[in-house]
Amino acid sequence: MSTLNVSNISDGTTTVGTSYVVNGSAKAWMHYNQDTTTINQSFNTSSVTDVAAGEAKYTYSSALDAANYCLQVSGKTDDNNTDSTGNRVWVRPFGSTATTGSSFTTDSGGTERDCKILCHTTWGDLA
Amino acid sequence: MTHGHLWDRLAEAKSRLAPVQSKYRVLFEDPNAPDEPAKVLVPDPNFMAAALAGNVLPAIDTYLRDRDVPDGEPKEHPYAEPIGAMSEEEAIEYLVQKDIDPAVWRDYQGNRTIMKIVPVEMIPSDRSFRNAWRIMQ
Repeated sequence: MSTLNVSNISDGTTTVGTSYVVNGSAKAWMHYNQDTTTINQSFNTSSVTDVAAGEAKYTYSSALDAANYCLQVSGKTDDNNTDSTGNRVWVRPFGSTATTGSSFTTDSGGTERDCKILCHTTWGDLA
Repeated sequence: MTHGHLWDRLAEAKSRLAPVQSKYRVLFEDPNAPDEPAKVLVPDPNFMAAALAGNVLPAIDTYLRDRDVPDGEPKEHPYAEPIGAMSEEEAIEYLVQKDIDPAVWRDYQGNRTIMKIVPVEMIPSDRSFRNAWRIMQ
């Protein structure tokens, strides 16, 4: 692996420090089908745990430095692009630690729902 | 130090290695929460590819020691030297130790079977009663 050591990146007009790019990158992400317990795409995650109906927990390969990072989650229970009832769900992060992030999904009635498409993205500082 | 940060090695490995979907899942129950349903750990395909290829992941001991390091304090595993290639079975055992609470795989002394490594086909596809799943004894 070659390493390019640069302090700044420029397009000829605007110059930014490399640290802005590194610090602003997502540190982990996953595209997961909870119905089939299949991870479709991911980065910097070692596993996902199907905890219960509607609940998933991701574990990072390279941990964050603390629990107060930003975890964004989204999903839908139907694998289509319609505004179906199944796609009107609440997906929310909870109980994150430096090594794991969790999400919980319910429909508008408060019933737990499994997502066919469940996505999480993590921003923050690495340990 | 020539091996760099683990996150950089994972990024490089992802660009080079094809993901590997594991044939296995890890079923387990939390002995501290006996009313909760069985949980299913799904190995990450990029993690499996890195484990099988070698020279990406650190020794499991570094993760175990980092469990006791408070948030904000320096961790060992991101900077530890990478280890060699594992078999799929070894990679699953590594994941069990890394991603499942030691109360399940190390400390439990009861009579129930609370953890099983099973072929993926053994996980029920019908999730109607997901919150009633238990490990068959």
